[in-house]
Parts: sequence; structure tokens; C-alpha cells
Amino acid sequence: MGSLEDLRNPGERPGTFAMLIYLMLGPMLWGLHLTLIYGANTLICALGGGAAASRATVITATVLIAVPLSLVLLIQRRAGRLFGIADGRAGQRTYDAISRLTGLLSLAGILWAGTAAAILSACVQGR
Amino acid sequence: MERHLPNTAPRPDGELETLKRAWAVPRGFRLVTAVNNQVIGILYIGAALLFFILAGILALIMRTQLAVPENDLVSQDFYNQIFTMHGTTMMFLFAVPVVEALGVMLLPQMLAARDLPFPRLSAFAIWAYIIGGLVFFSTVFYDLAPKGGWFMYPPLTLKEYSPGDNADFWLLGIGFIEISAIAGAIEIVVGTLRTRPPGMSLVRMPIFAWAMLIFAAMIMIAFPAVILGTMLLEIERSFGWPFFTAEKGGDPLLWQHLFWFFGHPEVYIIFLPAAGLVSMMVPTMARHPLVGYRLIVVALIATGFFSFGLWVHHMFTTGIPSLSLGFFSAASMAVAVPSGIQVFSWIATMAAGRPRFRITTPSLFILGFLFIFTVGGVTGVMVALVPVDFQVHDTYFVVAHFHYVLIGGMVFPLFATFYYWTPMVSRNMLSETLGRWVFWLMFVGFNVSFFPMHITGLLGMPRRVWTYPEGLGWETLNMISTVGAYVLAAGVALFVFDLFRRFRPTFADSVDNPWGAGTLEWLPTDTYSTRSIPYVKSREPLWDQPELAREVEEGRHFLPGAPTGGRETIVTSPIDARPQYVIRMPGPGWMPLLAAVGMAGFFLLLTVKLVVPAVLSGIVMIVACFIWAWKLDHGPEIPSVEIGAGVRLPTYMAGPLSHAWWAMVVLIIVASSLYIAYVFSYLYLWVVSPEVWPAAAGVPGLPEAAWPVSAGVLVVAGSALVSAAGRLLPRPGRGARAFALLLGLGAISFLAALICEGLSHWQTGLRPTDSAYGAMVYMASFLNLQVIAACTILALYAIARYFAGKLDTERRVNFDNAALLYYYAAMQMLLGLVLLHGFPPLAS
Repeated sequence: MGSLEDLRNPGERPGTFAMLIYLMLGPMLWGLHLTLIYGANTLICALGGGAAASRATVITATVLIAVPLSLVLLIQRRAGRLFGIADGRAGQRTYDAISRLTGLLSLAGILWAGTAAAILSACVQGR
Repeated sequence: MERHLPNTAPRPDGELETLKRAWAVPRGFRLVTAVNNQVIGILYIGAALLFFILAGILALIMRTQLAVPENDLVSQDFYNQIFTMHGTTMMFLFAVPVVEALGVMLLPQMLAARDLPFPRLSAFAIWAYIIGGLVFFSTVFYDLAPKGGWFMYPPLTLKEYSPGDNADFWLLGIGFIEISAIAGAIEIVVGTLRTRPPGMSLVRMPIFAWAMLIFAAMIMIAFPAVILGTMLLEIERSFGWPFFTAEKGGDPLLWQHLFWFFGHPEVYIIFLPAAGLVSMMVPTMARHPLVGYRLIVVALIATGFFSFGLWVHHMFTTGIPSLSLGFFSAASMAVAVPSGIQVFSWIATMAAGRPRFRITTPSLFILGFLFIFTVGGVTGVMVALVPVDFQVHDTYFVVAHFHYVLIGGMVFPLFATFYYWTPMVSRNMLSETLGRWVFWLMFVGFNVSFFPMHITGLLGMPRRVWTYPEGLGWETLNMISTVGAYVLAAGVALFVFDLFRRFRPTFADSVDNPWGAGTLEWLPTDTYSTRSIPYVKSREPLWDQPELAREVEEGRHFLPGAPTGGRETIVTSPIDARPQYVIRMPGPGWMPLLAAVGMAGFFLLLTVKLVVPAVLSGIVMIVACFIWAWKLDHGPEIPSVEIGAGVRLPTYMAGPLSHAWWAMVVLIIVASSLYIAYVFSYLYLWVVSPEVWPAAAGVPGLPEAAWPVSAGVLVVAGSALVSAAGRLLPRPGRGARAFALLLGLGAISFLAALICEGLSHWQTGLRPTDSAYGAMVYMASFLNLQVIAACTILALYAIARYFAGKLDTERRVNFDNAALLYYYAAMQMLLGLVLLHGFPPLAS
């Protein structure tokens, strides 16, 4: 927002909801990933589905979420436009940077958790 | 330069007097009716500090008991009570409230708003907290205090193993203190997003406001889980619905899941605002803008999210599959990354300071915080490693770790805050000389007390033991810890002495920006906050606009008076902070206090099974809320006012722009979080004990399909009736009785759906005490009953407003809020029907 004149227009784009989603896209995907892999692992183990099924589910969920998130990170500005944040809009660079960095941290979190499937046996109790 | 200001004309005579009159603080005994954020904030912080001291005294008793082996200073039973009360009081009555209190006091000043948008809600929250907190804490004097630990694990806390009312005081007492916290969260979310000054876009918002926004969002998601947990446990204790009883298909671990889904984010709920405060103080002391503002925002958001993926690390030893432990171990380590980002950002800001980072009392507490919190963070990564956790779980190592995190991460920044922001509301600063003594006593005392606990824990000393035998090698370390605790207490006592000596609250004669800070809370203020609401162009306006204080004080910025004659502030858009309307706010009143007394009476009397007085108290609360709310909706009697720069704003707003609509949305997020926690609990218990679900031998089958279909039809019909009522709202000055009729029928339809659903299960022979399945089925109806009861009250209120001629197509906020909650209730009920009637056949 540049000047006092701008204040006379009370409307704004993007809407709050779109902006919050844009800033928190990565962490929300991370949350979805954790919910899916934890829920699936618990359910498959409880129902006796076997370690292989659990491992495959975890790896599939990790790939299905990590790949689109990586793509968003690669085309951050274009993703920003999709959410209604126009080029050159006041604060645009900061919003893009916040979204990119939260996405990057989330991608690390997703891969970190997903890697566990390659190392640990799925249904054996740790203790 | 002057022509770029929103108001350049001379201010009219009497404008300032009107402003002062509108915001006058009641005097004498009527001070308890005040709603001004500074009064409420000081009272709130004072009460939280009292609970900190009381809980600290309990800690000293514990440390004295443990100073030597085989000590019998206090009995085992009393020790159990005081360690439970210490943890509970510190977490629920000190840490969260003091942070909310700082939000109430500092946010309006930092955002240059005249007050938060719901001042009476703040007053209600503080009184509910004070009354409930004092009654709850006093149980320690009557042998009625809970003794199951601050986490209250069943089966220990079930009626069989914890008879009496002690555990109920925790469950009901904490339950309503959480309601107070949620009320505060609503206030903070709406206040931060909607009452910022014109020009203060999200990217110019002070870091503390970001932190409080995330803090409040975390409360909205985390607290409902423990509220559901306390409801389940209290219902099992009182009525025998077996949610946690293994032989009937329940599971004590369900409590741990619900509790820690709240309990771990709680740590960050406490830490993030403290980190936000540090991010405000460090730049001032360095005289340099915060290095890495964007990174800090990223760290706050990431920490807020990641903190919800850590709860299972409190349950590593409960027999969860290895792979699941791996997920949570990864998240527990990942959360260290954003915390590290903040630490490096603060260090970089300090290093960038010119001429150099100033060493003052707040700076010392910040440096102490950095050291202690980092040590706590490192041991946190250690216990995030599953094999290490297996070794140190339930030992004093964990006690050391979380005290390093909590005292380092929250108490030290809090003391820095006291020294830094006291001049904002006091005629005097606190003493710098004594402050340095306070710091060193606390810093040395803390480390002497808690560092040896790492070793005591590694030597095998378990937590929560009343005493220990000689010869285990723990004696010297425990004695050192006790000495350290007394040194730490001496530091706190010296602080309290200084506070009594120097703190003199004031609204108008506070110390003038003693640290040379750049943010808006250091503008000249009075009871009305700032004379005019500044037009903000940067993150440190006082540094970048040196004339700002004078201009604001001369009324050159926005809303320099009180054009409606009452209390008001500007509501701006959430992202860019463009002015949207002027909110008219209520002044002092008895009703928030009375409502808080009624609510405290309801919960506390229910705890001691005095049902009739409890119900009467509940009625008092509802009536007080009705009276309180009746005058809130002024309507568009003064259609619009000029605020400056040629901007003319309406004084009334309904629909999605309205702050009331936003508050209702926040409340709905809270309600939906609670219901999601319920859905998780239902599915979890099915995973644990599918043998008590329908299709198993001896379990009543599901009701015929006609039942849920009927209930669903009634819900949809109810929603349609509410929607139709909205379309029939009369124009101003006209009548439309069909409105009241349709809204009433809508309410009846929802109630009928509720009864239909309950009856459908009852007629199959299913009872809530039969099994965990039965208990979960009726719990769904109980949760629906809560929401429908709230909807019905709102509908009756809207109908009453209609008959009083205060509800029409323009003045429609009361109806909009009721309708919004009804639509949410419909979604919740339909989801419940799908779950309860659709899942069992699928699962079998």
C-alpha cells in the first residue's frame, strides 16, 4: 500500500483465506502427510495388514505429497499468482518468501518422516 | 509534510474532552467493572504473577522435602497433591494466562487500537480465571487438591483409584479455565487481524502480534482436545461411561493421546509469545531492525504447525509400533530447526547493534534465556531420540529438560518483559540495579537447581517420588538442587520487593519511551490509548517517522476524537489494513463479572455435586450474558463518520466483514476441533477394541436406516428453515412475524433431530455404560446437544431482538451469528450420522 489515497478503497485481494492458505501451504501438506502415514501405519498394523503394506503406504503418501510441494517451490511466483497475489503487489516478495521457506521446511519434515519407512520395521513394537 | 497527514485542520474544541469522557476508567469499588485493556491487563498479569509465586512456594516445599533422603517433612499424600498443583498451576494458571494477559495489555498498544474488539469478553475471561483459579488453588488447603499429576493419567484418576472429589476439581476447574483461555484467543485473533492501524499490513506487523496470532490459533486447535478429554474422564468418573476402562473396550492411552495433543503444543503456546517478546526487545537494545524478519515469521508458523506433530513423543514407551515412533521422532527433531532460526536471528541482530548491543536488565534476561533455552533445546533433541527417551523417560533428566525449556524459554523472557514494558504503564521504571541482582540470583539459582537434575536423572532417580533411600548417590545432587531453588526464589522475592517499591500504575503519566524503541506502544497514551490512530508506513514507525509521536498527540492522524460519543476504534482489512468501518465498543459494566461468577459457580458447585445451585449459577450466567449482549448491537443509528484523509466509514457492519462474524468463525473452528478430536477418539477406540462394536457377539445392532435418515432430514429441514428466516428479516421499522416463526421452527427441527438420534440407539437396547462403543455413541449426542443448546439460546435471543424492534435487514448481526452456528451444527450432526451409522457396517 503506497499512499493515503489507497486507504479509501476498503476492499483487498487476495482474500484473507487465500493468503493464509498460501502462507501455510507447506505446513498444511506436512500435517496431511503426518496424519496419513501415522493413521495408515496404525490401522494396517492393528488389522494385521503386514509390514510391507504399511511401508508401501508410507512411501506412496510421501511421494504423492512431496512431489507437488516441490513443484510449488519451483514455481513459487506462479503459485502466488494462482492464490491472487499479483506481481508487484505491496509485500508480494515477503509473502512469496514466507510461503517458500515454510514450504521448504515442510518438505524437509515430510522427507524426514517418510525416510523412517526405509529404516524401521513397520509394526514391531519399539520396546 | 503536514499535507500528507490524515487530518491537517485544527482540532475542534471539546474533542479531546469527549474522547476522555468516553474512555474514562471507573473509580473506587466500580473499578471491577472496568474493561479498558490496560486495567484488565495489569489485573490479569498481577493474578498470574500471584499464581506463579504460589506454585513456586509449592516447588520450594517439594525441594525441601527432597533435600535429604528419607525425609518426612510432608506426607506422601500431600506431596502428591503439591506436585500436581505445582504443575497444574504453573501451566494452566500462570503460563497461558500471563501470555494472554500480555496480549490483552500490549497488543492494542502495539497496534495503536483504542482497545481489543471485545473488551467485555476480556473482562469476563479475567474474572472467570481469577475466581476459578483461586477456588481451584485453595483446594490444597483442604486436602481436596488433585493428586494424579498435572497430566491426570487414567486409570489412576478413575473413580476406583482416585475416590473423592480431588480429581473432579482438576477436571471441572481446568475445564472452565480453558474456556477463559479460548475467550482470550478469540479476542486476540480478531484483534490482531482486524484492529491494526491503517497501513500496517501483515508484513509490517510487529513480531509479537504474529506470535500472538499463532499462539491464539494454536489454542483454538489444541485446547479442544484436552477439553474433550476432561469431559470424557469426568463423565466416566461420574456416570460410568467406560471410555478409559479396558475391560469394556476403553483405553487409558486415549487420554494420553488427547492430553498430549494439547500438552505438547502447550509448550510452544507458551514459548512462541515469549519468543515474540524477545524479537521486540532485541532490536531496541541493539538499535537495529530485527535481522531476518521474514525468517522469524517462517519460524513462528513452522513451529506452530510442527508442534502438533510431536505429541506421541510423550508416549514413546507405551508400546507404539517402531515406525510410528520414527515419524514423531523426526518431527520432534525437525521442530528444533525453526527454533534455531530464531536464536540465530536474535544473535545476528545483537551482533549488528550499533554502537553495540546495550546491556540492561531486560538484555541480561534475554541473554540468560538464550543460554538456558538452548541447553533445553539440545536435551530436547536428545529425548526426541527414541532409544535415549527409553532410558531417561520418567526420570529427573526429563524434569531438568522441561524446566530448561519452560523457565528458560518463557520465564526469563517474561522477566525481561516486566523490566522492559513496566515504564509503559507505570510512573517509574523498575530499578536497574536491583534488576541485575534479580537476574543473577535467578540465573545462578536456576542452573544450580536444575542442572544437577540431569545427572540425578541419569543416575536413575524417578520423577514424582516423595522421598528416596540413602546410598543411591542422589543425596548431594538433591541438596545442591534445593539450595539452587532457594537462590532462585530469592531472586523472585527481590523482584516482588522492587515491584512494590517502584510500580505505580498510570494511564497518562508513564515514562516516555525510555529505551528508544521503534514500535507504536511507546507513543504517548491515555485511557483512550493514542489521541489519534497513526498511519503506519514501516515496521519501526517511531524510528522511521520521528515526528509521529507529536503528530499523533496533536490528533493529526486517524480518528482523533470520538465522533459517535462513545468508545470506538477502526476496523481494518486483515491483509493490507485498509480502513473498513468503525467499531463501537461497550464501556464498563457489571455483567462480565456476574457472568464469570455464574460460570465459576456452575462448574465448581457441580464438582461437589450440588446440582441445583450449580444449575441456578448457570442460569445467572446466561441471564448476565443476555443483558451484556443486549446493548452491544447499536445498529446504524449514526450511519457513518469521517476518520481523516477523506475516508468516511460506516459505524455498523454485518456479514463477513463484521468482527462479530469473525469471532463466530473462530468459535466454530474451536467447536470443530473438539468434534475432530471426538472422531479421532471414536476411531481410535474401534482400532483398540473392535470386539465391542456392532456385529460382534452380544453387542446391540445399529438402528434401522429410517432413524438416521429421519434425523438427517430434520437437520436439513432445520437449516432450510433458518435460511428462509434470514430471507424474511423485516426492513427497518417493519414487521414480519413469519421470521420468528420460521426461526423457531428451525430450532425445533434441530432439537427433534437430536432426540431422534438419541432414541434410535436407545431403542436398540444400547446403553452408554455397556461398552466404550455405547459411550462413544451417546457422547456424539452429548456434543451435539451442547452445540444445539448454544444455537437455541442464540435463536431465542434473535427472536427477542426481533420483537424488541432491534433486528432487521440492516441490523442483523444477531441473526447472522445464530445462522452461522446453525449451519455448523448441521454439518457436525450430519458428519456424526455418517460416522455412527455408516462406519460400523463398513468396519465389520
